[in-house]
Parts: sequence; structure tokens; C-alpha cells
Amino acid sequence: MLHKKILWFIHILIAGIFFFLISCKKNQLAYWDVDLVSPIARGTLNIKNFFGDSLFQSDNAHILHLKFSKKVSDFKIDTLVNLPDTTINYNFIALFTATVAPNTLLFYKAEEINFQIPNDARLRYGIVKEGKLKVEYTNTTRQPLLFQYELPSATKNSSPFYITEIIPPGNTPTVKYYSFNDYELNLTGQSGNTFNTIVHSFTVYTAPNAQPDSVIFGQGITAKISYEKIIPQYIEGYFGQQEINIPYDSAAIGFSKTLEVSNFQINSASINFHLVNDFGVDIQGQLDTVKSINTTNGTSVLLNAPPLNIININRATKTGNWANPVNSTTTTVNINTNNSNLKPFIENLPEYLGYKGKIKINPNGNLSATNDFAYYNTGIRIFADIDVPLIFRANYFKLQDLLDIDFKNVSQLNNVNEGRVIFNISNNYPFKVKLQAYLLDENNNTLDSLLLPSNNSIEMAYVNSNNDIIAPRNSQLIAYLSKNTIDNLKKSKKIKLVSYSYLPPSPPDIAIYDSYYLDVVISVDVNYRTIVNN
Amino acid sequence: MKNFFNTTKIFYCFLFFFLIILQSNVFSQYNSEFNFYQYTGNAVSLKAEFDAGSNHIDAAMVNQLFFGGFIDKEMKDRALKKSLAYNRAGAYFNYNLHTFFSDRKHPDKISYFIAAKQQYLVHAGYTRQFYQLLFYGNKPLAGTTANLANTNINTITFNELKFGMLFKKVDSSAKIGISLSAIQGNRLIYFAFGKNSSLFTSSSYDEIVFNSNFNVTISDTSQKKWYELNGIGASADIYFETPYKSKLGKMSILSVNINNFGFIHWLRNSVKYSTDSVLKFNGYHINSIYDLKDSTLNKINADSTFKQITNARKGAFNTNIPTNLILYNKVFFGNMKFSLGFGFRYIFNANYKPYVFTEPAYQWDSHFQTNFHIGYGGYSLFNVGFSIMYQTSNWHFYIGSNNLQGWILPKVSYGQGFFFMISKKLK
Repeated sequence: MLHKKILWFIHILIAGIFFFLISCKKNQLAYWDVDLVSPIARGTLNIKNFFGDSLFQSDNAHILHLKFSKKVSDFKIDTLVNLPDTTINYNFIALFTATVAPNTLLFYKAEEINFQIPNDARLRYGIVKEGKLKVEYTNTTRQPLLFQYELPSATKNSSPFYITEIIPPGNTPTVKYYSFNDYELNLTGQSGNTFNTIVHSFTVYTAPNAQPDSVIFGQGITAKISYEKIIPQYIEGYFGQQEINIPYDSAAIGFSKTLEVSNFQINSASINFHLVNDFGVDIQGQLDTVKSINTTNGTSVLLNAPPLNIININRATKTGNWANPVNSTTTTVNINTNNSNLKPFIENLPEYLGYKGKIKINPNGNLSATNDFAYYNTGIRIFADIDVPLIFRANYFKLQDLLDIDFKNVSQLNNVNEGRVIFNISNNYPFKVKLQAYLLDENNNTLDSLLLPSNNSIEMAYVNSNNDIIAPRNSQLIAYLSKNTIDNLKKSKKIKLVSYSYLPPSPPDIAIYDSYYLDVVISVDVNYRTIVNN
Repeated sequence: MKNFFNTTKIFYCFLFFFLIILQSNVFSQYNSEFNFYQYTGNAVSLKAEFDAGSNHIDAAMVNQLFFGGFIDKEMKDRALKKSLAYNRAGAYFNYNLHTFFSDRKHPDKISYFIAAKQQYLVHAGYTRQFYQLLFYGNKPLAGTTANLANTNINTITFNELKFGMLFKKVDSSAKIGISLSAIQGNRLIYFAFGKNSSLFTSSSYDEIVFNSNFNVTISDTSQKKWYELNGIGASADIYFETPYKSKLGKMSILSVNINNFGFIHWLRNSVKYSTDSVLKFNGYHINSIYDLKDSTLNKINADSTFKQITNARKGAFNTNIPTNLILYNKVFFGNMKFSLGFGFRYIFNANYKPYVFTEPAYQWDSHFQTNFHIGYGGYSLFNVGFSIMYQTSNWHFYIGSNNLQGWILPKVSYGQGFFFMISKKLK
């Protein structure tokens, strides 16, 4: 009896151990907290890194210049002159009833087409880059007809443009398209001394496979011939006197979108407007409206610059090299703080440059003896080269930007209990920076900020009485990551960076040299939960 | 239902600990089956064994590591305080179902042996600084170079099918047992730093220099279930036991046991990583404050960083299984009820220190035997154990621990373990 009880007890015991192993051992996690420190990122940043490398250049004195070129306008050949779409209807009708055999000549006609080109343009010669000839045929006889169409004025490899088609009988039009690409056009007509004119001819036969039959009075063939979408590769002649308006438009400058400056005053600035003419025509231009537009402030400043009112642009010449056929002419108009109100124009910190004007073609008539020319993909281009030396005074700059972020899937954050992001900064700029980063949700609501207001300043470098830098100064900024901040970081979709750069009292003006920099080392110090799955 | 399981769990946990505390068991096991034949004879047995220890990590912390839970600073500090320049820790867990049986021709001379067994072994040898890095992080070591030389961590899991024979009357009274195992390698993680490995963290946290002299070998990580085949291998167990007369006591029995003598060939999807270079990290270089987006943090991905700095190579390779050697001498006194055993154990290639032990045992009657166990070495330091055996004509049970100190005084002792076996004797 005792042994049975002992056996029962031991079985229970073994079962107990078995369940203990299953229930205690499996699916339990061992975890502990560790303090981890690591560098994250570093960089030596200068003003180019914030606004874009291509916007800045140094001068011989190593002063940085905000210097960039913007294309503000561009005209191509089609603005200047083109061959309009032209449609001509022809009816070849039998004037009496007759019986005809196959291959019988029914009709023949040769004549000129004059393209109606406005502005008294007189084109002599052209090469078609792209274009189509559309023909709608209707054969009202009872037999198929052979239609032949020839353009002696349009040649390719010395062969004229030629169409031959057998048109079946019926009242439903037959529509055919023919490529006109790469044909040379002689636009001087049959006599060779007119303009805008080509010569063509039609011949209509009964088709070789037709049956002998009667062509009844009133029957015949109609052809509707359309020259469509002719894009010239090259065109020559006299382009007429014409005025082309440059409609109001704007070009984004794109660097100061998020920049605000208090009491900003520049020392000097200039804009060189370059007008590049690829056309073989004389041009007179006028930029009557040039505006500095700042949408952040809602302000605009109209540039008052008399040199922009009349700009004479000489015609380009041919190189004789088909690959690079044009010697362009460039006319430069210099606008500076002496001949215009450029200072307030630039101090408005334009995000966009608005412009409007007009150009006059051949202002003095046909001086070229009908030898104006234009090549495909060439035209008139207007560039504004802006140059602002970074010598200025201001109370402060405010720079703000939004960055898209998504830390939701950054698994490293999940086990962070708390921590710090440490920014060690060596400032070699003559201004103090206050920095803040705001975490925003998808509706741009602020969830949190990363830096304490008491610890968000990068101190200004040490400067002398000229506001030139003597030595950099070190600062440390710390972003504290509480559990709540980490949660907000994972929820946030955007981060808004706002910085205020406070300049030293001036005069003298602050000059930004190319040797100035901001040395940033970012490290983390986190308390991290290590989890081990047994 | 959930409450029921919780209650059951608590009950069994309580029961288990209660029984342990009552010191209700006896005999040591040492990962061998042959050495129990003398008690069970031909039988079908279910056996399990767990042992964990360290020279400085106390049992309370080992408990948390193996059974889950939060390892607090107090626990970590205790282990740090006791740590040496170079430390060790290890644990093994194995269980099996095995049987001894005889044919009708030679029932007294030969028993045949078949077993299915799973073994899990994790062991590590490491520097004090490695322990600090692992459990405290690198911040407390900022401004210093953490020595990682010769630190290694190994985990191996494999399943065995064993076939063997026990010759019971060699030279009239000695026993020789031999078994061969077909092995299914399940999981291997081998991580070893070379002698030059170190990690420097600058005091301003802006630079980390990792002297990355290390090798890592990992079996196919896509197959983690216990039955999935990642390697194949073979091993042998050899057992020798002989009684002899000695001046001390009435009779002595000497046994030598070598088991897990073999290898595993890990299959082609296994991966080896190695690197021997000085890696200096002082942050990702940025060109603009706007570069500091999530992409920068995403670059700090452990997997990708690891792959970047090492030469990863997929392929098959072989590893030796940690081989277990046990020498045991037992001397019987008086009317053969009291015996005193002395033993030596060593596990090769497993960060194991030679383990010496003694086991006084007393046979109370034909059913009960109790054993004490006192030992030093192995993964832990000083061990005290107790086990109890109970048997009837049909059944044999024993249960015990070689590391009772870890259950009773977990905060001041350095070992943890238990074992049990239940056998149904065959007629």
C-alpha cells in the first residue's frame, strides 16, 4: 500500500517536472537594460550645404557670392515663322460621256500652291523636319482610277515627292497619309522668283486593271489635299516685320522659399540679362516688367531698369556646319544697384522672378535681302545671371523647412527606454543660431519638440571689430528622448526645422567667406532594452 | 480555461520547487545512459537533465536568462563584482527515451540499446569587458578599450538516434557498452573573437573603434524548428565498468564513460562570416542637415552593418560535438549499504573547467537510496547536490540536482540544475 502511494506520488512528481519544463521554459523572454552610446552622423557644413552648391561661388577675396543663372524666356522657330496647315480641294469631272479603255489618260493639271504666311514673310527655301500630306480620294466612276500626284518643288535626294494610287470606285472617300519628312522645299514657284509657293501636278488614268467602260458626264475623281503639321528643320527668306509678345510668366529661383530675414540690407548686387539670338534676323527686345516676388511675405518689387526698355540684338550667322549650324549672338544688359533699383529688388528675397516684354523682328525691314534664316530647335533665349556678394547686414535670418520622415518602421526605436541625441557643434560663422525641431503628424499638428528652449543655441564664433571670425566656438545641444517623445517620433510624419540666425550688431556689414563652416557631430546616448528569446 | 492553466502552472512550479527544497533526490547523471543500467537493468526509460552555471553569474540571474524575466542592475552588479578577467558560463539540456533489452540467447551477457535523444548546449568563455558590454552597454566603458580577446559563444542543438550494445560479463564481471548515433543537426551558432578583438568607445561618444577579429558560423537560419534538418552527423558513446577489490572498503567499481564523440556536417545553407580589420565609425557623413532623416537611422541596421563588415560565405562545414568524459570510482563499505564515489568530468571544446566531485550514498532498503553530491569546477564553482532513487520490482525512479545551492541560495551561488529519470523495468 505504501509503495503504491509512493508510486502515485512519483508519477505526480514527474508530471510536475514535465509541466514545469513546458510552462516555465518556453516563450519566456529574458531582458535587461543597457546604456549604449554611439556616433550617428557628422559633417562639416557650410552655407552651400543648406542652399545648394550650385548657387554659390567665391570671388578672389574668398567672399561667397550668391551667383546663379536662370533662363527666364525661350522662343523657338515656330514662334517666329511657320508654314500654316493648308488644304486644297480638286474635282476632276468628265464633261461628257465616253467609253474608255484601261490606261486611258483622263485628266492632267499642274499649278502652284501659295502658303498664306502672315507678316509679309517671304520664304524661299525650307527643309521639312516632320510633316504629313493627307489626301482624301473619292472615285465616282464605275472603274478604278490611277491617281498620280507630283511635287517638283519638294525633293529628297534630288527626287521629287510623288504619289501613285489606284482609287477604287465608290462614294466613300479613301483617306491616305504620306510622310513629308526630310523633303527640301523650293518655295519660289514655277518662275523661280516668287515666295511661299510650291508647284504640284495631278494625272488621272483609268487603272490598268479597269474594264473598258463608259465614264458618264459628271463622274470623276475628287481629291482633298492637306499639308498638315509641317515642322521646318530649316527655313530661309524674309521673316517680315513682326512683334512677338513675351507674355507674363515667372521663373522660380527656389532658394529662399523658407527664408525670412529681418531688416535685410545687401551691400551690392547685379543682374546680367543675356539675350542669345540663334535666328538669322535682327531683333529689338524690351523687358518692360521684371518683378521680384516673395510669396512668403506677399511682397513684390518691380525692377526699374531703363537699359531693359530697348535692347537691340544682332542677327546670328551660319557656320556652314550642319551639326552646329549657328553662330549665335549674345547681347548683355547689365543691371546693377547704380542703374536700377536692384537693391530693394534683391532685398525682397525673391522666390520667383516675374517678367513680361516683347520682341520686334526685323525692326528695320528686309536688310538681309531675303536671307533671314532659322533652324529647328534654335531660338531666342533670355537668361538672368544674378550675382549677390554675401556682404550684408540684418537682424536675423529665419530658415524653416519641412522634411518627410517615417520612423514607424525603425525597429531600433522600439526598445529604447529613453535617451539623448547630442549635437556637438563647432560654429565658425559670425552668427548665433537658435534651433528647434518640431514633430508633426499627417495634418501638420505639432506633436512634440526635440530641443529644450534652454538648450537650443549654437553660439556665434568669436569675431573681431570688423565682424570677421577670429576662432570658432563650440556648443552642445541635447535633444532628450523620453518614452513619450519616442512614441511621438514614431507617430510623426514630418519634422519641421526652424532656425534663427542672429547676426552681430552692424555696421560693419557681415561678409561670408568660403572658409566659414559649421562642424556637426551627432551622437546618441540611449538606455536600450535588450530582449533575448530563449 | 486560462485560469486553469495558470493555476496548474503555479501548482506544478510550486510543487517542483517544494520538492527540490526538501532535497528529495539523489543520483547524478552526466549525460550518459549506460551508467544507470546497474539500477534499472533492461528497461524503458524517460530521462531529462538540465545543468547551467557560471563562475560569476549567480543562479538567480541564470534563472532569469533561461526561464525569462527582467535582469536588474543589482543582479548584474553581483555578477560583475565576482567576474574574473576571463569568465565562463554554460548550460546543457538533454532528454531522451531509451531502452535496454536482451534477446533470449544471451540475456545475461548482452543487452541491446536504442535511444532517441535531443541535446542542447550553450557555452561561452568571455572577458569581463564583454560581460559589461553585453549587460551594461558601452557607455560605462566610454573612454576605454574593452578587451574582447578570445571571447566565444556557442550554441548547438541536435537530435540523435542511438543504437548500441552492453556486454555485461566481460571477463566475468566487467561491462562494456558501445553505441553509435545518427545525428540530425538542428541549430548551430558559433561566435568567436580572436586574440586581437577589442572595442573602443571615445569618452565624447563620437567615435567607436572595433578591432573586429572574429568568426561567426550559423546554420541555416530559415529552419529553426526542432525537427528541421540543417546538418547530419555521427557520434559514439563508449562505456566501461569493472568491479575490483581495493584496500579501501569492501568493494569498488570503476567506470569510464566517453560520450558525444563525433561530428556534425552542417549543410550548404549554413553561413560563415569572418573579419579581421579595424573598423572605425565616427558617424555617417552628411552634407546637409536635411540628410538627417529616417534613412540615416535606417542605415544603422545591425544585419546590414554586420554583412557589410564581414566576408559572408555560404557553404557546408563540419564541427565537432563537445565530447563528454566521466571517470567514476565508487567504493562500498560495510554491509554494502554505504558507498562513496569520486569522479572527474570534462567536456572538451566547451569552455568547461575540469569538474571533480564526490558522492556519498546510502542504500536505506531495497527501495530507497539517497546520494549527496559535492563538486567543484565545470561551468560553476562549488556545487552541492542531492538525489533520491526509488525502485520497485517494476519501476525505477530517481530525481535530483547536482546544484542545489542554486535553488536554495540563488543570489550567492553559481550553479543550477536538475535531472530525473523514470524507468519501467522489462521482465
